Amino acid sequence: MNKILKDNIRLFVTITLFIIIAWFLFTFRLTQVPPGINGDEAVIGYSALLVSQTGRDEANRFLPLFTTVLKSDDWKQPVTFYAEVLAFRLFGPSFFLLRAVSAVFAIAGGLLIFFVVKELLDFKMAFVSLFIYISIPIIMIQSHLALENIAPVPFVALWLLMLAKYKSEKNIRYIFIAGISIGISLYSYFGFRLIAPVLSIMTVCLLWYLNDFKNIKKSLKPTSIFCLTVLPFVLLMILVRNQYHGAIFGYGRPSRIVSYQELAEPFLSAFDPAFLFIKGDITPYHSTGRHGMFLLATLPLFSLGIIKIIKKKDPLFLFIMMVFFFSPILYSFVPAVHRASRLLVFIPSFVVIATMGFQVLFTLKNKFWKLTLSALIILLLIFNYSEFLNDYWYEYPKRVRNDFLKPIHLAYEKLQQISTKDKLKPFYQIEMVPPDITAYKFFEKVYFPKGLEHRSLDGSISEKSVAMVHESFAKEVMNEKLQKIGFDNYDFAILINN
Amino acid sequence: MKIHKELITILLIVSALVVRIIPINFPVFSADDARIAARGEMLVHSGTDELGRKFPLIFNSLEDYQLPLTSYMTALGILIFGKTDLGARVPFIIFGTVLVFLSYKVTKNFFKDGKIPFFALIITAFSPALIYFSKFPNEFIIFACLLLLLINFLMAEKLNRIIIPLIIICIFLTTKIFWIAIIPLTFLILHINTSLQRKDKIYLILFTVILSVAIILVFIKIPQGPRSLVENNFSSINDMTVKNGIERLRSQTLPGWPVVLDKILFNKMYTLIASFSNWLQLLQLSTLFAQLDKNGQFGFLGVGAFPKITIIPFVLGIFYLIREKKNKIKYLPILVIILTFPLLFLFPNIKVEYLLVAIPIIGIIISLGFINLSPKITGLILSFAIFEVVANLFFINSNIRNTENFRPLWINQLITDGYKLSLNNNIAYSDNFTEDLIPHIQWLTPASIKLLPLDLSYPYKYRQTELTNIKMVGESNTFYVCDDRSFKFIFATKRELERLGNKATLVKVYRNDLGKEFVTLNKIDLCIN
Repeated sequence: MNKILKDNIRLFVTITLFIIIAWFLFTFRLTQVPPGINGDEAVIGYSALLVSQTGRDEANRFLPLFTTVLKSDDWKQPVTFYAEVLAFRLFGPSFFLLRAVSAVFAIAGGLLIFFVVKELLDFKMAFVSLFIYISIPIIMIQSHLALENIAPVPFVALWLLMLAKYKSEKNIRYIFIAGISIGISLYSYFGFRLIAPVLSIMTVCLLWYLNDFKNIKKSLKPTSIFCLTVLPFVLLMILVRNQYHGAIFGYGRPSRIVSYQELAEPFLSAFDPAFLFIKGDITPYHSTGRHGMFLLATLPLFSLGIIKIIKKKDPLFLFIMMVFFFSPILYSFVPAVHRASRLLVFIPSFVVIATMGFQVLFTLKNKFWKLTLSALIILLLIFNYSEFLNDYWYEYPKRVRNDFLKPIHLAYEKLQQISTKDKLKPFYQIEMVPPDITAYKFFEKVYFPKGLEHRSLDGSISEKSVAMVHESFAKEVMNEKLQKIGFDNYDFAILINN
Repeated sequence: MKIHKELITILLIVSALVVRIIPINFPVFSADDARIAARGEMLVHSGTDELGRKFPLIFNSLEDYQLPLTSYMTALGILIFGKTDLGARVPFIIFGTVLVFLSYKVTKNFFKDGKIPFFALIITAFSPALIYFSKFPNEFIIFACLLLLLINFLMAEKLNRIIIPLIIICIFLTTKIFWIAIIPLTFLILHINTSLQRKDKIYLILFTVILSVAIILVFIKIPQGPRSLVENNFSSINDMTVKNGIERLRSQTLPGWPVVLDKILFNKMYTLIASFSNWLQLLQLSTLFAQLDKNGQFGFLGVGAFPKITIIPFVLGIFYLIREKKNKIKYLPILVIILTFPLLFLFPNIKVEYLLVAIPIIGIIISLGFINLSPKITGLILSFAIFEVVANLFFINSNIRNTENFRPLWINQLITDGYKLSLNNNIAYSDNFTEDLIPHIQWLTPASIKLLPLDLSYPYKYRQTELTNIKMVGESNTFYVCDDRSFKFIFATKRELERLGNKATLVKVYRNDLGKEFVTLNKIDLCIN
């Protein structure tokens, strides 16, 4: 009894500590890094805000399964979208909250992976896995973006956890939950339409293997339960495909494949070590450009983990390794290489494999090597991670300043603060930008729920008012009566006439 | 049974030879290939190179010095088969085929019995990279072949004190990028080979070390030798992007890090990481099995160093390497690392051609993967692999079209027309429609070099710009009206046409391999300086 209580306390403390540390890391400088809102973030935010307030999106669809804004065919997936709706409903809309939802997904993913490792190895290794997880650059980057890419991580981790539980307990309910996880993951990220089928086929093969390879009858029940659980999610997609034209398969326009030879590169390039551990995603949105998808310091751990798994010959570990190497196989049909943001399915299996690498170090018989190598790897990890954090939090925003929209939220925030505090009438200079940019609509609704007057300012700012204006206009009309607030060389400013 | 085995071996080697010969005129020569071929022809007929030097030991190219073995081997081929495609390519076809047999022999040193050496033979025989490099004049296939020969001799039970030093000397005369790899390689193989006597090992190591040092010392005595080494073999310490990276990191202080630690870790680490990344990029799965060279200069487009299907035995081979505790085979990955570690210093250049040397060893790892496969699956995989290679050899047109930047076929007609005109007129070519046209003209026509007096005995990065009655026109050249020795025709690109305006009359249009109008033959009556 004492031991169970002790274990539970240990578990509770670990989880609580992880949540606190992860929350701090994933939300630190959340609205400053990346510097401005991304167009996709704005679409998710604006639609979620509308649905959280009225139940309808911009196109007047009531509680839509997929959503987008008017004049856009970039459909957003329901998992992230409704998580945002829920968050806005509970805590009120804000830019911080918009991005914090991704941090919640990241934390949930980490916790579930912790339980996967605990199930597969032991508590000590599960504890180590939390550090490996938290150190992954792509997790940090995705937790700072209100995009859908991070959303599948908890579902893949839950799926793995259920398979691990099923292997040890052979309880069919785990298969049911695994099926649900895969089903939901289909709605978590567009790219999962190509990954979930692979994971499903692999699950069927694993279940077949675990239930006496030669006796198909024995494996019939778990495999059919798994398939039947996933099926409704697939059917739903087929049913709604006309209602949400282009939301399911992207307008059914597969890229033109000139030769079968083109298929190999997009798939195999996902495992290019230089991409995974040194360079990262090719776009500035999903990479610092100086760090890989994973930390370079984890490369030795990952390699050791692979060697250990191959030697161990445990079917579940081999399965996890195969998940890593096979999950992007259908990306062969997508002619793009080195897109880390599309490969977050790697995360759970990567953490398990790298943790196995740590286990190899911890179980070395020679004490000297055990201590020296473990200390070396830990030091390298600390060094590599702190260098990444420093770069990501402070240098990266400067480098990608032109790749994101300008941080207009700072101006909206200031406008709201000043108008409320000094009871001034807020305006928005109509000539500043085209008013139909979704990001502006989102921020306007967040900071001015009752609306913000858009006005042509004609060379003057009336008394007792505060206006968000173009920098050049501010320079032009500036006089001793007016007070100006600039924003780090951006082309917008606040003018106050109090 | 023995006859059966030998027959299969011979058949496979003959197949390797066939796929290296057919089609004989593929790949189209690049400027460098044409330079070596034309030089070979000059060495045969006049005993001089393109700079008029009598049987030199160091040659020149646009980028670097070239070591002698490749040029003299090409000369040998031309001496036997004449100035033909076959003559220029045959030494390399032979080296490529011998390499296949040597890979069989080397594998036999790791696995005395069984089918593994046969699989290694098939994999190297049908490796697209090894086939491609066996079909044009280059140093890499010679080097790979000599290296396998060396490994084979070093793994023998008795040390051959004549052949081994000869092979090492030949290796040193082939390519300089791997000079630094020979010592660790010799160490490793002698460590694997436990049957050799200690004094033999010491003799060999001493010989290798002394020769390495001597060759490097001789090379850096050449006026531009150190520059050549730094720019081409150790570009990571010379390249501006690395320097800039270091400067940037220097000026950036990290909170909480002591300045000294910051400088040591970040400055040096950056170079290390950049070089490591460069090395990894050559050894990655997508390079080995999907696309060796995106430009198509050193490989079939859309094809890796090995057929795609062989990724299956490759993965199984890795499994086998990890699980098996046999002493010798565990050295295979180390061998790959030793053979490729000079690539660490090549950042930011990614030169896939230098990977070739490791391909036969990776081929052995692939062949390990067949150990646990059933004969049916093995047969299926090998059939697919051979099919992929043969299909690529049959359908070369798209490859020719899409690699016209480096291996232009379309210039042949233009060169032939130009040569005919040059017999009675002065003619000019724009110098910007291919990398270097002069070697192509020399190879395809009897046009002779206009020898210029050399200021230096070993000029570095030398570009020839004139042949008899033929001149290359660059951006710095100007056109002017004159009475005597004017140029009557020009093969001009858009750049020269704009400069000439109405002084040029169009005669003929030439399309490149993609069908795009690229160069025009124009009548002019102008001088060029």
